[in-house]
Amino acid sequence: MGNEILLKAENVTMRFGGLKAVDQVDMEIKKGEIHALIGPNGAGKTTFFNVISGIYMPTSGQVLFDGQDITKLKPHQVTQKGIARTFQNIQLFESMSALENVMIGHHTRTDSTVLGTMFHTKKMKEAEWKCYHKAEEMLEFVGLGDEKETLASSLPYGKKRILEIARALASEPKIIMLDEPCAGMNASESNDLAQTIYKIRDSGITVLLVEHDMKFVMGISDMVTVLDHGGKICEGVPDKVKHDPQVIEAYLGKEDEE
Amino acid sequence: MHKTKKSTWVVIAVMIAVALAAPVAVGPKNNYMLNILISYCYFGILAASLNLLIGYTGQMSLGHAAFMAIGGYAYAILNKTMGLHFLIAIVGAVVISFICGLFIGLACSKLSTIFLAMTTSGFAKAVTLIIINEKWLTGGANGFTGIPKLTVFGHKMGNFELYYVALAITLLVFLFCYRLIYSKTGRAMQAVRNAPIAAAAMGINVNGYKFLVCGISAALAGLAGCIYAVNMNYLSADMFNKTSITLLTMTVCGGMGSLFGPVVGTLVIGTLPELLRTFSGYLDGVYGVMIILVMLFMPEGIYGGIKNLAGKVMTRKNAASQPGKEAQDGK
Ligand SMILES: Nc1ncnc2c1ncn2[C@@H]1O[C@H](COP(=O)(O)OP(=O)(O)O)[C@@H](O)[C@H]1O
Ligand SMILES: [Mg+2]
Repeated sequence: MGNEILLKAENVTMRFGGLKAVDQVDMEIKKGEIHALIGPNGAGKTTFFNVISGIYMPTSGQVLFDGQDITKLKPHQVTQKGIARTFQNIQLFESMSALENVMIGHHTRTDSTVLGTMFHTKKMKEAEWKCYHKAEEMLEFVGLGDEKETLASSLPYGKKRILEIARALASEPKIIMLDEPCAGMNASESNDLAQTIYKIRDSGITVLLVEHDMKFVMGISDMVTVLDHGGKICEGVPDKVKHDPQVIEAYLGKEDEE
Repeated sequence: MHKTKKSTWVVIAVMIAVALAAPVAVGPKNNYMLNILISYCYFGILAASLNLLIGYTGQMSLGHAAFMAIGGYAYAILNKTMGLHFLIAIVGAVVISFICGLFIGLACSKLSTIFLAMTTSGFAKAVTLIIINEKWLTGGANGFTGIPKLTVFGHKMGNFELYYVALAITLLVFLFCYRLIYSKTGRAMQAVRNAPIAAAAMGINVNGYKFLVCGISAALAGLAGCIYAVNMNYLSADMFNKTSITLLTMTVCGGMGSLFGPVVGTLVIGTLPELLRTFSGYLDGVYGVMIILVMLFMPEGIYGGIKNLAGKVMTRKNAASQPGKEAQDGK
C-alpha cells in the first residue's frame, strides 16, 4: 500500500440552516485502502458523501482529489474525474434492465455523440459495444451475470444494492464510495459483499465505506474515521477505534435512538 | 447491444406496407381521406417528439403545439414571403424551432414539473399572441394564406404525392427516435426521468440533457409544422389552440416511453374527430375522459395495455400446454 493521498477533505463544513450536518471535518484517504466512515444515525456521513460527490456545495472547506480542487464541481464532473458512489436509499433506474443500469454507469467513458448516433457511425457502434461489454463484465464481477435482462424494479433488495455497486464501477472510478452497502442484507449476503469489496480494492480502486454494522466495518477496513454530530471524534486503525472511549460513548449513548 | 425482436420487425414491415398502400386504396383523388392520412403523419411526428420529452426524459410540456406553429409559420415565411426553396425553408424552420426549444430547455433545467407545465402552456399562449399581433409577418388574425404546394421539377404535388413525402419524413423521424433511444443519449434521457440524482452521480449532465432534448423535440415538432403548413396551404393562430391537448392525449393514451405508443396514440386519437364528427363540440371532453381512463386503468397507455394483455394470454397458453409448469407460473 502506498502512502499517496487520493482524496482529501480540508475543514469541510456543511450547514443546513442552523444545523451543522458536517462540522470542520478533515480527512485523508490513501490510495488503495479500504477506509470506513462510521458514526451514529444523523452523524453526517451521507451529507459528507454528498459534499464529495458534488451534490452539495460545502458551506466552507475544500475537497481535493488527486491534488485537484473539486469543491465546486457539479456531480457529473466529479464522476468524470473518477469518483463513483452508491446511495443509502437505493436509487436505481427502476424501469430499465440491470444491464442498462450498468451501461448508464459507463456514461462518462462512452465516446459517442448525437450526430454519431443519427448516422450510425462505426465509431459510435464501437463505443456502444465497448459500453455493453463493460456492463456485462461489471455484472459478472459482482455476481449478477444472470440478471442482465431483469428489470431493476423486480430485483430483490440485496441484489439492488449490488447492482448499484456494479453501476458505480462501470464509471471506471479511482475511488468508490459505498453508503451503507449491507443495509438490509442477511449474513451470507454481507459476507459475499465483503468479498466483492476486497475484489474491488484488489483491482486498484480505493474504497470509502459508510456502514452501520460495526463487525463488518472492523473486519474489512484498513482505516476508520468516526463522525458524531457532524464532527470527527476519532480516526485510526480498527483496533484503536474500537477501544476509543469517545467512540464507545457516542455509540452507546445513541443506542436507544436507533 | 439492443436487438429488436423478429416479430417486432414483422409488425413494422406490415405497418409500412399498409401505410404505402393506403392512399392507393382510398383513391388518389379522395382528398378527404388523403388529408386524414397526411394528418397521421404530422401527428405521428408530433406525438413521437412529445414522447421524447415526456415519456423518455420526464419533462412535462402543455404547449407543444407552439413549436408546431413556430415551424409552420417559419416555413411559410421563408418559403412564401422570402421566396426560398422549400428544402431550405424546411431546414430553416427546423433550426428556428430547435432554437426556440432550447429556450424552453433553459426553463426545463431550472423548474420542477408543475412549474414547467405552467411555463410551457404560457409559452404557447405567448406564441399565439405574437402570431396575432405581428400582422406584417404572420398575417395576424386573418391568418397566413397562400402557402404554395411543393414543386419538384416544375411539377406541383397534390395530396397524393405529398402524403408519400410526409410518410417518408415520418419514417425518418421514427428511425431517428429509435436510434436516439437505444444510444448513450437515450439511456441518459431515461436515467434523468428515472432518478435524476443518481443520473448526475453517474456522470450525466442532467440539465444539459434536458436542454438538448427540448431542442430536439421542438425541432421535430417544427418539422411536423412544415408538413402541416404545406398540407393546409393556410395557417392561423387558432388552428393550434387545441392541438397541445390533442398531442398530450395521443402521447399519454398511446403509451409513454415506447416507440409504438405514439403510433397507436396517433391512429386512435387522430381518428376520433372523424368518428365523432357530430359531437365535435364535446371532443375536448372526450380527450379529457380518455386521459383519465387510461391513467386509471392502463397507466402504460393503450400500447402498453395491449402488450400486457398479449403477454398474459401467451403465458396462459403456455401454462395450459405444460400443465406441470403451472404451479411455477401461477402467480
Ligand atoms: N438536505 C438536507 N436538509 C436539511 N437537513 C439535512 C439534509 N440532509 C441531511 N440533513 C440533516 O443532516 C444531519 C446528518 O444527516 P446524514 O448525513 O443523512 O446522516 P447519516 O448519513 O450519518 O445518518 C441529519 O440531522 C439530517 O437531518
Ligand atoms: Mg446516511
